[in-house]
Amino acid sequence: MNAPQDKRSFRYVGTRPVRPDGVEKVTGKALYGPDFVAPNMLHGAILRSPHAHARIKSIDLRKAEALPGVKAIVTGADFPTLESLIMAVGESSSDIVHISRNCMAYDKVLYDGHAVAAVAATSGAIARQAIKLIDVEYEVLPHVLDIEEALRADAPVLHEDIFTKGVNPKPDKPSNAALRVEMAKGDLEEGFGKAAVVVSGRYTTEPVHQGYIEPHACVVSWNADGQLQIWTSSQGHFAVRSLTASVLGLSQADIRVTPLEIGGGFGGKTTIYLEPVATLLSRKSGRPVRLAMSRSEVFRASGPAPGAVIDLKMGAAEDGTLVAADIEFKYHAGAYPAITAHSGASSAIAHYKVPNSRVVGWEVLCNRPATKAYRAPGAPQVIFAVECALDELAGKLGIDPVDFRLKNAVRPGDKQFNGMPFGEIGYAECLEAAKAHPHWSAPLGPNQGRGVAGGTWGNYGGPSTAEVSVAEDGSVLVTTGSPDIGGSRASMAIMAAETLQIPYEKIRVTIADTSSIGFSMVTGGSRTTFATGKAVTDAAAEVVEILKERAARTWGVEPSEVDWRDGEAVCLAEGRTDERLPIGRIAGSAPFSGGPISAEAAINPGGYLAGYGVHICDTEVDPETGHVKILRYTAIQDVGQAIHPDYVEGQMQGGAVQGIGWALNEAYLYDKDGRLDNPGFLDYRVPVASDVPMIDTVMIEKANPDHPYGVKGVGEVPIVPPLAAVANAVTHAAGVRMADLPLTPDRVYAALRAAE
Amino acid sequence: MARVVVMPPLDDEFFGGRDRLEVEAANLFAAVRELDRLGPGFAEVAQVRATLAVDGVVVPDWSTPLDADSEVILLPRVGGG
Amino acid sequence: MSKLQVSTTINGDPQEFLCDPDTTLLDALREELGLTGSKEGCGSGDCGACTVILDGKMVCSCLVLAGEAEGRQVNTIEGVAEGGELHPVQSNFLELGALQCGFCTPGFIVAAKALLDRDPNPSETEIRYWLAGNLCRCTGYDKIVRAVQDAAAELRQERTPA
Repeated sequence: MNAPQDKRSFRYVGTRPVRPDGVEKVTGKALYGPDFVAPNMLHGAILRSPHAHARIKSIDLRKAEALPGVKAIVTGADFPTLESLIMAVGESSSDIVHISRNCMAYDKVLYDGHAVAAVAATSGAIARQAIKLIDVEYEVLPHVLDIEEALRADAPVLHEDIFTKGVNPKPDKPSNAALRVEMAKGDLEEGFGKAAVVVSGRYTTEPVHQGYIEPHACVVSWNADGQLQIWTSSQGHFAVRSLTASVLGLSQADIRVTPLEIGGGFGGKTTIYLEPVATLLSRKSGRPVRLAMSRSEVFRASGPAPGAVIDLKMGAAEDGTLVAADIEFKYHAGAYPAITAHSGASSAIAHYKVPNSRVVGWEVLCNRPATKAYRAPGAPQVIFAVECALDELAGKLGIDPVDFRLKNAVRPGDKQFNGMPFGEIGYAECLEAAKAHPHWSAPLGPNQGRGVAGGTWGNYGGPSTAEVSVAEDGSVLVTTGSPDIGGSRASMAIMAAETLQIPYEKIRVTIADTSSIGFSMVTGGSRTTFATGKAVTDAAAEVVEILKERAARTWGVEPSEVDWRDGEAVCLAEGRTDERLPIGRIAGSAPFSGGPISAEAAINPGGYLAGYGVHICDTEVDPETGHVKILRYTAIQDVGQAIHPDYVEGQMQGGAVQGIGWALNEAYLYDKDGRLDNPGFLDYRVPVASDVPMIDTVMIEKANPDHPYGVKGVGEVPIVPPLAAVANAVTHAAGVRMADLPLTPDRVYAALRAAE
Repeated sequence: MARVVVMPPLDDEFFGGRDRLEVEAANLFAAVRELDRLGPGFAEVAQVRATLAVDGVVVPDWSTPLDADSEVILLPRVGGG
Repeated sequence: MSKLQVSTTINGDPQEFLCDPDTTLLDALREELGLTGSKEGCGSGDCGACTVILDGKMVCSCLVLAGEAEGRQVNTIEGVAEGGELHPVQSNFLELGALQCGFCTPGFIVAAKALLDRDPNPSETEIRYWLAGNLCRCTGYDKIVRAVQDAAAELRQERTPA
């Protein structure tokens, strides 16, 4: 099943049926993380550090323990001491000691909001009252929030045991520079020597939150024999199992994690915050415990994407050929090391042919919450700078910015930085579509400007397990371990329907708990429709083989004499070619032809391909106030084959608007003591419906030859281009280069006045 | 001997800055074991931090046989959201 | 702290419950009455995921005290479908793929129905401003606005029902 099938021959792939979990979600019946209730459940609350950086000298629990209704209290001292161990977290990796310490501080708190203690009580009100009675004595330490300040020799060092990785020789002093990565090729001096134009500049972006509307929440029920159940919403309940097991030293088979519906994640729910804490509270109290974050806890203590400082120099020859790029970017890591710099460095100019380049990335520790994955982690920031620079180069050369990108775009067969050839990628097709789109040539009015930007994300495969079983009446159950975060049940049912050739409505999809199906990696990295979809397709194809075999036995012919068409076995044996056995008949008599019919596929597929996008944005800048209005927006993307186009367009539209928020509004505001001033949606302003126009989408469907239905990952690419598309549009409207995000009215106003 | 190309930052972190190595290995499991002798500690983190490609194609199955003239590329694993 | 006894009408049915004086209507719905369709995204009236109708007026139930529901009519997402029949706003959300994670969806549907109950023919701009108190992080609002437009058209009987 590896040859892409002719798109026009598809019956279900590419259609837009109602998602199987839809009615539950529009009627309020679907159960999300904060909705689950266990009998006799206690309610937890977490005491969080008011300091950005402090040593915990003592914690006095006596008054809290004495409060009636308090059943258990947990601090960092209740967590087992762990040896450093690098573990997979989603597709990325972290030291399990840092994961544990981020769930609950032990000796030091590293950011405002860092968990210090937790209480379980008979009501939420009592738990919240109890944490106020916990007396923590802190020795406040100097803190640092800013990337460049954190790199200064006299900066407070967050971790005495972290030495910069990726430098040779290994440093002998700890520092806040957790990682340096450099990717270089060619000869920069020679490259810039060939340049007719060179642009350089410094670009900055602020940390931003994923902004999922559902706060983190879980219920944990521990039993005296050491087995426990966790009900939680996450992007991967197997990751919740493995991380909780490792943090607490438990056997994975003792932990059963049941996935609840997830209210958005965008990368931020590929890790754990609450589950080990709730487990310890449940163990101490002997009762199920719910822990749920408030919105302010989500902002103070869960993972933002890093902010960035990017210094860049790029050059192009007279004919528009890029000849050299020298880029150094520094990303916040937050309180613990992250590895977003890897992807930043490998994405930065991955969509262009640049013969001479050096990309250096740094991860910088600072007293902010530990950064976590956010949709194409590490790519939007550095590509923002690159795409702004390309805009300037095109302007100086007098070349249309789309033509300029097209001239330098990577195409199938070109070599990647690592020497591997690109497969069937579609960046050039996206750029051609941008050029041909009426948006690109539409007239603009006064104070209006148009920006264009491209972007890429590498996408991923990763392990997935799926089971396909046939019910006695011939309807079909698909079971996976991949949480459905944006309609993937529908995609799984479509691919199963296409393979089995039975109606979409005859297939229902379940996302099973960790004890009911084998391992799947997180729903993230734009991998689920690709990898879990391939597992579903493989299992469904095996079911077709079983069905044909059963029909052959029933008819007394060879399996090679049975074909499968339109959901029924067709006899090919001579003289019997009008005999048919529909799936329901075969399923009904399955016990008598060999037993129940089901198949499982457990795979780790390669063959994933990078995705590419081009966004066009029109803005109008109010010269009186500096306010930026988004007038028109078009997102173009190579999506491979769209299995369910509504949800592919939805990824493109949602990513674009998240990117618009990143470009225009979103930023954390800290006071001088390092306390977060805007831990709520009122002051951390994500885009609302009245901020944006319709988001026009163009899906370029260039099928992936290594997926049975041509799938490429689509979820992450669309957050990469918007930062520069918006900034380039504002730059053209304002007549002055806007290099610092977000483009808040005060910044735009100041730039307008300075340009006068 | 299979040729091994090591992508940053794994070259500096484990192999003293060397990004071109050679190992005698029948498959990728064996290659990782050999690489651990050249860069102690590499094998322990390889599965969670590295993606391996052979002759231009990412290979998730490390039991895939290597030829004498195979080129193995060690890529840092990139985490998605 | 003694409990309040609250008598109210929820989705047309009389309901009585006990709660602390500082309990919000949202917490009473979710914790006391098991109506978890109304969601808490912020607890401060900024996200609209907890939107309900109180005596015909759209409110964030996290900003209303449960005691304020005494003697009044509360309509929640659980009451939008009539029996097994989806409201056109609900069916059009499904038909157009106007939800991804679905967490904000109940609030949007209650708010959109409230809009169409008072204005059967809103412009795109009116829809966008009416829904500006409801946050969605997944969809970029495009398909939500279109679903509301289609539901409006369906309610005006300009189109055959989906």
